[in-house]
Amino acid sequence: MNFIGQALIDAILLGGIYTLMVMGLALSFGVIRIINFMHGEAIMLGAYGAYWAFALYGVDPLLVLPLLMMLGAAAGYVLFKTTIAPVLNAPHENQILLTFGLGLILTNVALILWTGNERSSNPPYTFASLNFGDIVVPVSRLLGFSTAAVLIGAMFIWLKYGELGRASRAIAQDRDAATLMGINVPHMYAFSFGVSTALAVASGAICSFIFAVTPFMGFDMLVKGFAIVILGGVGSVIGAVAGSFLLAFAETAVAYYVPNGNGWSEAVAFGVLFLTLLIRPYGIAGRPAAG
Amino acid sequence: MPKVVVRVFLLIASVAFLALPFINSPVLNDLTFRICLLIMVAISWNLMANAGLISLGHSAFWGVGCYATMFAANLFALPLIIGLLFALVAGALIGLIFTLLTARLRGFFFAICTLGLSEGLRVTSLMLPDLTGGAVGMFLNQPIPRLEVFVLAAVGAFLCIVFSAFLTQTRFHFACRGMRNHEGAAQMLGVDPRPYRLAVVGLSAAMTSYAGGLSAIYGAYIDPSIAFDLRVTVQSQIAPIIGGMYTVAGPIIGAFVIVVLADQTRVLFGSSEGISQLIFGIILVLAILFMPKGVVGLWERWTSRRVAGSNTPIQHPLVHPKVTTAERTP
Amino acid sequence: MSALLSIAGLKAGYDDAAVLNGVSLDVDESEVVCLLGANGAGKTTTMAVLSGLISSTGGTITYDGRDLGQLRPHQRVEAGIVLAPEGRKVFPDLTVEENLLLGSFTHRARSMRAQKFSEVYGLFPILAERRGQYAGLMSGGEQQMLALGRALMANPRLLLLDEPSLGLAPKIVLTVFDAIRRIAQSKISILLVEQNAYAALSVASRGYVLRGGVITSHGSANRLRNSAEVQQAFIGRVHHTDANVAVR
Repeated sequence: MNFIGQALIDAILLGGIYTLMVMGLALSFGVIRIINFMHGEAIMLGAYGAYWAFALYGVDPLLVLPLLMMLGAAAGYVLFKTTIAPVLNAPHENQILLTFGLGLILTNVALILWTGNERSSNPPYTFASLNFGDIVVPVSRLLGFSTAAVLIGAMFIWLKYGELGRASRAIAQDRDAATLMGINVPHMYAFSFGVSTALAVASGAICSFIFAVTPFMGFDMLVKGFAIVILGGVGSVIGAVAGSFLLAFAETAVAYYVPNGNGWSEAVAFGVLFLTLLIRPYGIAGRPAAG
Repeated sequence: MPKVVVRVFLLIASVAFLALPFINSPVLNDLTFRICLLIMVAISWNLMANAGLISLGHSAFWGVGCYATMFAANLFALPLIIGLLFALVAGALIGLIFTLLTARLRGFFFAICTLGLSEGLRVTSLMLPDLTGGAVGMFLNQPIPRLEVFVLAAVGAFLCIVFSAFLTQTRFHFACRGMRNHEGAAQMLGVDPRPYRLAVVGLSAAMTSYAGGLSAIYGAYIDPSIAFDLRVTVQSQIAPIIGGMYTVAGPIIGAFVIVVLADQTRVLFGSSEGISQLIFGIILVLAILFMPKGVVGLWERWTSRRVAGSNTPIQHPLVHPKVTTAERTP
Repeated sequence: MSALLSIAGLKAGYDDAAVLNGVSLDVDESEVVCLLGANGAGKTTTMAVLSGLISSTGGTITYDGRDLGQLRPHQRVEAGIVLAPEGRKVFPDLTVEENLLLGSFTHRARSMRAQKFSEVYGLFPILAERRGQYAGLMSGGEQQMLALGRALMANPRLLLLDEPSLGLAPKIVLTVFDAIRRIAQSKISILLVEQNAYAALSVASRGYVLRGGVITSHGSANRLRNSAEVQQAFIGRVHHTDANVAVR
């Protein structure tokens, strides 16, 4: 029995989904230079949003996704301006603890409101799959991958050609120089955070029909997310893509070829994180510049 | 307050504290037990924070202590105190290895590695059921030695307090503070951060492991999610933060507050999952935003304002009214 | 006649160190004024306060009749005050063209983008040639031209130039200052701070000398060039003819 083809497909599809999950994290690292420990909760809330839309109103998660993204962007913007902007210039401990605390609040609000029971939205395509010879491609994952690809592609185009996208890249490279261009940097920070949140929420909506939705899914994603971003190179958007696929491949390989692999795949991220920080702390696309 | 009064007070308090376990009241014993454990964990977290090392995975050391002590008790049928020794050593060892691996990391990178450590250990203990019992867990196969547990908890907490107070008088403390502010600068001043880091994390880990071991014996049952419980991590941060980070009294005050708060929450809201954690999260956020120096900071501000008011000499009329207003402001 | 820019009694510093202790100077419309000073005199601090990157601790800045103190940095760019900072600070991982596009980020500039591009490419043909090159890979002189071009893209009314000669070979300095002269011809007001008094006085019509955080002398470029203070402080010799030769 040949697993390779199936493993490959699984890894690629997973990689795309992971990319969407961490892209916002990479963006907020690169532009705002903050450490966002509640990024996972944005994913979690997106997942619950899609779930409830489906469970209560029968709306397909992919259809409600744009609305969720807009809500996420607005919420991210407001949250940033009110709670995070004050600690931007504070010692990093404050940033870490503040965002960790916010994540804790969101996780437990979700736990209280919706209990810890696993959920998922089940639009019709969750049960469908395409067969190519021996290889089974679940339609849900394919759709998730495609949606992620579209969103990531749009983001790259925006970064490259959009006015605000270009401004974001400028801020990431030299914040003062960006200010001298007439860019309102504090506003752009909040805006970038909004975009980050929107991307995370979108990935959550996709997760709702692929993975189990629980209040803790955000926290579970945290170590993975950071492992990916660090592997790819902190602040590098391309690196985040590379890191996502690399982690997805590593996890899939472990799941297929290591006995009991499925359980161990959780620890793969931790291993990747450690190895990266030991061998090449600035990641694949990062520069060994000032820390 | 004159030094003599303070010292007598501390002496009486210490004796009372160490005598508490002998009072035969299960409710009181349980309460002080949990406070003692949290004092140790909070002091431990604070120790690392003081050196600029934020730990988001203190449950790693707690869990190591849990399993080490359980092994000693179940597999080797060793007396509790030896089991706790296992915990101390195991914890310190994990801490030292971890520090060596993360030697070049600071701030956020270090923090995320601590998170990775606790999660990694949790998954590992889940995936090695032959060793740890996996999800089924491990039961303590002897009766709980209650008095011993309480006494060892009180002694442990007491030693941690004394130790942390002692540390502030040493060069060690200043080295750590230098590291916190800027490791590079500390190096320029002739402080090589590496041995200090090892010492800080090793000691910190040992303290938390000890506490974890005690809790494992007391609860008589552990599994990966109990041993590496995120709630330990949360409490380890909240207690020192709310009490006053970087101080000696802070973690102690914080430990009291948190344990009592957790109990009151349970009384008010039942043991519905998440309420106490939610409250802790809110406290954490509010503390960072509005009260970064914790209770100790408030106390200091209050006492120094009184002192400032009385000591400020008469100044130019433009300045004096401001001083008086500051005095009056609550 | 009121000046475009009027600074009075400006005080500023970093943390507890005061750098500017009461600086006053004016720049009129279409004028090129230079601010001379040695290292640490406070030239860059003055520029930083004008651009809004740091706040002043005293004194007033009036621009076009309004108090500048209320305006945030990005608003000042929108009002036409554009700084080409010390050390160029081009965006290294963006192309020349992207740098220039960012220069015209403000609404004021965006509507005139096409026109500004042809102006800048006309002034600096090398930028047109290298428009796809990453700015971080360019030489110091090319980066300076990019920084100037980028500032021009913002459609400035008052151009602030902070040490354009810094770190450049003398030949390149000549080229750069040639360009500054041509920019001055388009009636933009320029406030130029420089250590290189020769170069600065060759384009400016008036100048101020900044020492110890205050203005110690001022006057027309000619007067300053021949003044003993400037000669001794920056030029090092009193010979009149030598100074002229160096500028040419």
